[in-house]
Amino acid sequence: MSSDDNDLIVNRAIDELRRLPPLDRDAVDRVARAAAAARVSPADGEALMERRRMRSMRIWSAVALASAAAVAGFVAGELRPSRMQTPQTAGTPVSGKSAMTLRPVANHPSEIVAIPQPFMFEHKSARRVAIVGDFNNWDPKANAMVRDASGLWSTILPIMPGRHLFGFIVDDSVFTLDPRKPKARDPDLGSEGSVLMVGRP
Amino acid sequence: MQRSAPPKTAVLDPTTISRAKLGDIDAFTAIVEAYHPRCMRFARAMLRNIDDAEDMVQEGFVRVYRALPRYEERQRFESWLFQILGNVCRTANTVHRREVSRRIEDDGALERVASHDEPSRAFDHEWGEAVRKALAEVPDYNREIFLLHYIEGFGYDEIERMTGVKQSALKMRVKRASDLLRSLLAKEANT
Amino acid sequence: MYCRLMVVAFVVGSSHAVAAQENTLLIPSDREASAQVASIVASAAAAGLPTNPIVGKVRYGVNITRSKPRDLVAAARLVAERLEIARTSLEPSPSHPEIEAGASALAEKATPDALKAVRHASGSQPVVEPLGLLTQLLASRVSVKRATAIVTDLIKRGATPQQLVALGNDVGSFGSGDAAVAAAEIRVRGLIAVLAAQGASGTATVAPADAFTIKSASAPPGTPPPPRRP
Repeated sequence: MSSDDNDLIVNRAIDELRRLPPLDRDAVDRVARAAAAARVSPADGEALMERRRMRSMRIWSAVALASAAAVAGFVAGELRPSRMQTPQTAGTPVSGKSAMTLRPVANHPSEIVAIPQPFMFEHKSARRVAIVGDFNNWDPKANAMVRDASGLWSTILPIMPGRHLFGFIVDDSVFTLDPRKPKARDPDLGSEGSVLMVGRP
Repeated sequence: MQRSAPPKTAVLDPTTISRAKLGDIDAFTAIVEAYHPRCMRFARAMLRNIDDAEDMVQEGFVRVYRALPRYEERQRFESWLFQILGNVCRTANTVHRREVSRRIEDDGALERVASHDEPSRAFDHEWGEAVRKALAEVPDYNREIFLLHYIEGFGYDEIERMTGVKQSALKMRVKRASDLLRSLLAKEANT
Repeated sequence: MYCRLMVVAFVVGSSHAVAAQENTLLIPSDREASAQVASIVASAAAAGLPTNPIVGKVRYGVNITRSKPRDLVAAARLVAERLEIARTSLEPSPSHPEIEAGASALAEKATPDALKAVRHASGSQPVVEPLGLLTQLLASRVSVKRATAIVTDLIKRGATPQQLVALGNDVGSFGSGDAAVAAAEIRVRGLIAVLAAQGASGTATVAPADAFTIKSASAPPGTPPPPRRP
């Protein structure tokens, strides 16, 4: 077989491989939805600042207009208190694409209840240890732990079923993870937390 | 030996990428529309499990969207896009190799179901089938460079920037991929 | 009329003071950012969405990561958007815990279709634990498609909330990356074997022991897989 024939074979293969599939618009829509759901997190960079600054200007303009309207209405004696709205009214979109509208949300309190969960943390020299997590809005003042003679700090908290991130604040200054639990990175702000999964019995 | 250049992607408005960097989802969707067929072509040729092509392309685009604020227009957008997509496909291939080695009968059933309608079957014929089978025999690292250079049209200097591999090594990988394809396809070409 | 004006001034003034107090509670170092977050929270509340995840994210950023105020505002918006998408994806009438769990999964790159698939597989049962497992698998870098298939299959095989949670805790302990994904696959197969054994002994209700196949989110149970995408 001549070298030209050999090149012909590879060229034919390349021509075959270059054939483009047709554009799949459904797949493109899926990509766009996935990207919109993932969105750019602050940990990724700052390039969205200008757009968001413009958005906040629109919000504050709405605040001013709504306040003026509320005052005028009250003075005129026509505004009923139950109709006064916050500047960000229902239906005003937070983002340009996903407008929030009032919809019923069920709460099934009888099906999903908080489950008592024990937490333990060893630290002999700490003067104060608090547990913080998404279950107490990361408030160091919310749940102080109790120390025993051996230096083991513990507490029991009611935690809703699901996946939670948490950690410990030692002496009001140092955030530390639970060495006995898996850890995961917060997807928006980039820092690590300990992972706890809680299930209904 | 002179090969024809690959067909060009649809031309984007120059402001589209700038708007997408600011989070404009419509601008980003236009970018996806422009590049999706090429990305699918690349992913189907790169991946060990062709069933994953659309997912991996989607993952690649989502990573692009998240990373857009960091994109600097010193690098051509499409080389940056394919750099990210290449990373995604390489990781998928690594995971797939490990899954295959541990697969049980149930997962074997999944594979058989997935292969019922190959994505490329719409335009496959005997030669196309032979080409894809032969390409699947090419080692991943040679196949990737072959695809980037001959199918997607990137120059060696650009691929060097995308992959960090020296041009001399890149040329060797392309040569080895070409030689293997030639030897596997020679018989098919003569029938 | 004069009294009304005085009352208006008092109300407006005091509401600003209250709002200012509330604002500083959210992001103490930045009044404007606090007000923006307050607006986001108010909007979410007005739309019937849970607001704890938004406030929690901001507090996390203030107390733990010391993030910049503008990053906290952006994060608050992200969380609010995910809550809305989760609510839509988990219809009809998802509970607040379910919406929060869905939003967490979206944050780890779950797709709305994945949430819908979990909801469909769960029927009328709460989806909090399945979504928690989905989130954990995604955080461990299992692909969306594979993670969704794992969760929906385990639901159909009758895995209890506790079993899903235990699996999630195990998966989390593997970290993330290729090795973690491989280890997670082994653990999943172990649970499938347990569920199959439970089904054989009659100790738990399990789905028919069919092959482990990915089913479309829109197809009723028992239907064959849909044709592949073109």
